[in-house]
Amino acid sequence: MTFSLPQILGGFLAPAVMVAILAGLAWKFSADARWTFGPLIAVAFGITYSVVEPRIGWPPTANVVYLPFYFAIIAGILTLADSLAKPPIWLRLLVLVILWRIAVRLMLGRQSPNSLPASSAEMWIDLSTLITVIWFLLFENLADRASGITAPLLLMLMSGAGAIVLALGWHIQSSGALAGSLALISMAGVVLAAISRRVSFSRGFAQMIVAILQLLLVHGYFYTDDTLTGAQQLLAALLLATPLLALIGDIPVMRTRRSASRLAIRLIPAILLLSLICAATARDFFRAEQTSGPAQDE
Amino acid sequence: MNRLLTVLAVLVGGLALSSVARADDLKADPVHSFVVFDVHHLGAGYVYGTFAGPTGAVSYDPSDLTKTAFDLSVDADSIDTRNANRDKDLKGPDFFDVKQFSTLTFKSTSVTKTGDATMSVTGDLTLHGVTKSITVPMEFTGSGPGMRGETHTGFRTDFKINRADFGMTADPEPIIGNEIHIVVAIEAVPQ
Repeated sequence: MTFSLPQILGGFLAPAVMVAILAGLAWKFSADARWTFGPLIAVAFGITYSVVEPRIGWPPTANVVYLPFYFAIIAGILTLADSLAKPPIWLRLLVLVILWRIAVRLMLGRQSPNSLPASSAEMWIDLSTLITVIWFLLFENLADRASGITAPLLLMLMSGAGAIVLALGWHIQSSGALAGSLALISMAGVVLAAISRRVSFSRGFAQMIVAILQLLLVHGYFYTDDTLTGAQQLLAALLLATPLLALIGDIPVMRTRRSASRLAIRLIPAILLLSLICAATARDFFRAEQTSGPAQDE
Repeated sequence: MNRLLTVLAVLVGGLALSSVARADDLKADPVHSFVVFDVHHLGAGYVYGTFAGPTGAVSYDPSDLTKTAFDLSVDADSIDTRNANRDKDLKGPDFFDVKQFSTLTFKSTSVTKTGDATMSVTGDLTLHGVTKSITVPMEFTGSGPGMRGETHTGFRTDFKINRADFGMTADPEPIIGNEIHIVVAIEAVPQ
């Protein structure tokens, strides 16, 4: 899958720039502009989606490929409500779990019970819910407590690595492109954080990126035509576990360190692990290309 | 005696009628039936591919071609373009998405005679989860006896579709042509 220069500029860069400019303006004139992130990220993702998948069908269940688009809209609305009403954490988790389980159930509906037994589907729904809740809590915690760029930078790295795994490892270039767009939006967050220390990524930015990226990964994992090898399964598990490395910055001996040191302590192990995952994925991809010839440009 | 003759006549007549009906009800022989496609690549050459099969039912009445009917399906997972990596991409969500849409089907809805051995077949083609009515030219290519004496009947169609009509929009022209040329050759045998 390749994109023309206008598509790259209009479909990938422009949405990220739009998030940076509009959210930046909102933060300039408002003490708390977290409410902007839900709708802005939903719109930015929708623009990219319309470039990657020009025909967005209805209903969402007609093709599971449509689900991330509609999921992002609903997540954007709920995130807006979250940032304005500021409900307690238990209520946020409850809404997240309900929304997530519906989304994954719809995602697996095409396979269960035919190729995926109902009991296995339930297990996967439970497991993906657990992982998403952990990511949600971890990134919300990071966005609240860590220094400005930590959360968006880690989200950028996770989305970028997710894009490589989806496109090269699981042969779904459209999902890889969509994850890449999340990396660009996260980069917009990094720029915002670098410009202003007031910008907060909790109750808005982080949860949007986490939810959409997780759904892209779930789709990729279940709908890739590849039979994933043990090594690929391990890489997927490592990818999902990578954000936990950011917790190293929270162990007691690290808490007394300066902000820049803690940022490095949080991110360097994650960067190393993500580099390993991406390198292994790319190596397998190019080995396969050598064995059976290039599939690029079909 | 007369009653016995009547019963026998009814039985023989019934058997004769049912054998005629069976002769019209055919099934596609997947070993001798083919789906071949080609698509323009980078505005330059052509990539060719095949699917296994098809399978399904064919009704054929040589005395009245308008009674001909096709109800065929093809296993999407059987796509083969002689490149394993390309086939993986084609089977994945960017193209055929075989884990969601495992079969391609064609079910005729009307047939009009266009010549002694040709017809125009209109039917519903379902591809990538999208169903569209298409009309294709169909040629009766002949019939002949098989190894067990059964009659083999051949059909062939050659048509084009726009893949975007079926929601397959990845890598648009000129990378991969939008128009897919498809040839389906069916050899049908009695069910």
